[in-house]
Amino acid sequence: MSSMKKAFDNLIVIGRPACGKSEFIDFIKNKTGDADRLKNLFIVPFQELDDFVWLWEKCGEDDIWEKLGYERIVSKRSGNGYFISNHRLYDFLIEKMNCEAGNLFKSNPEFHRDRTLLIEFSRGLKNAYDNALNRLSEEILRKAAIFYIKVSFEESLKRNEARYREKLKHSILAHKVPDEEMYEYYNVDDWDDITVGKEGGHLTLRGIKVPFVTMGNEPESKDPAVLGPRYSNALGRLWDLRR
Amino acid sequence: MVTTFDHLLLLGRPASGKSEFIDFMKKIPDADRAKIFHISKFEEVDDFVWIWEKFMEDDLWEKAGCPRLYSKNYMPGNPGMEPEGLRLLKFCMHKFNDVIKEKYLSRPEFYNDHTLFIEFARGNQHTFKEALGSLKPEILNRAAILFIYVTREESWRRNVARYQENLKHSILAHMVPKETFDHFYTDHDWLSMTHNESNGYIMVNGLKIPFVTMNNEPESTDPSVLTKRYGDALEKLYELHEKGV
Repeated sequence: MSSMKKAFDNLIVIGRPACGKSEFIDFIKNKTGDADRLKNLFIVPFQELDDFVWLWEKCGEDDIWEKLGYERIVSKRSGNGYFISNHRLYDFLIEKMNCEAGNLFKSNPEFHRDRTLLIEFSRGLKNAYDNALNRLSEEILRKAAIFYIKVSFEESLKRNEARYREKLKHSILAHKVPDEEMYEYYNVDDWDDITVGKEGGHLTLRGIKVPFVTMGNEPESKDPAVLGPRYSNALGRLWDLRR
Repeated sequence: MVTTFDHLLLLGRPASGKSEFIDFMKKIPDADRAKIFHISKFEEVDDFVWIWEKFMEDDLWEKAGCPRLYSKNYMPGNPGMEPEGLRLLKFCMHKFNDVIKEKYLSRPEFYNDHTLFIEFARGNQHTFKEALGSLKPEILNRAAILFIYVTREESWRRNVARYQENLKHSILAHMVPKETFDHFYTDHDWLSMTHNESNGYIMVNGLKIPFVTMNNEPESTDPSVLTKRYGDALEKLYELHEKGV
């Protein structure tokens, strides 16, 4: 962590789809002021890199390829979303994350002086996070802390559907992670394996010791009075572990 | 009343002088540019940006342990399109349609005081005829075409010279590699499409589009030479545009 500020440099926010990553970011963006966010959550004004945006873009490009008479490259259509048929896309997305973060740091070597970088993604299958986290660049990992937001698969499935229903009220363009993707890709992940079931500690990634904390995010709550302490408790522990 | 182009299509071989034309226009005050060249304040849509982005993504696919999709590193750090990447050119035409519709045609007021440059190079199998034919009518019916003509040899010479000049200032300099140039850009269909006429109209999907083929040799950086060269070509093009309306 930077000695210039008492806040995370690179905070990696991970967990199943609809586990609460976006709600966490909404909370720190809109429901807490700068001073409180720094004091309770150790986050200064922040910038986000969320690989979902790039994933969605690639699926959109597949639509164009199909329209032009070519085979899709990474996805197939599934309901109101996309099923990722080429799992190498997930590795591509981590490489893109490395590239984008690298560009940010290169264009502003003082980036971390007064900013936190939030890195957000979700992975499934038995080598989900072991593979993804070990692909992140050393540049990111050296200043990273990992915040895993934990919900059960059933809860993830339920919230994914509920979020979609809610969005449908406002837009016909609403989309969700398709059920087949949920069952085939996100059903299991390896977080408990790589952390040996611990709620906090360190992972060794590319030879770098990176602190992590696992925050249970059930029962679901939208009440800032519940979420505030839940987040600050987890991130307080994570802040202590960074030492 | 000052009258200017809405969509000016800048076509030609690689390094024919499209970018130099745009650089030149950037340096001319708005009022003079409108009066002499019929070009308002302008914005550009250039498919090279999308092509380069895909080449950079190919680096990421490679790092992820996958084959590159469109390009090959023919020269270290300087990828070029490989034959299998041909489809990317079709993708770009689709993208022109999307981007121009979303960013410009959706704002008719843009054209009150702006010209949009639409810039691309084509050759060999992927012809100008096919490329132009894939643009939407709402783009074409506001269009005039300035084809910047240089020979194959001159295109290659300038491509290499530009690269060597850029290398002096940046390790990120790039050029069309020989393999890509030979495969994609040795020949083109522009002269046959226009029956070797230096100006006139071509029919694209039933629409009559004015064009001028501007000879851009010998190369010059002298503003007085370029002012005359560009001015004559665009004056003629505007005249055709007006007559054709």
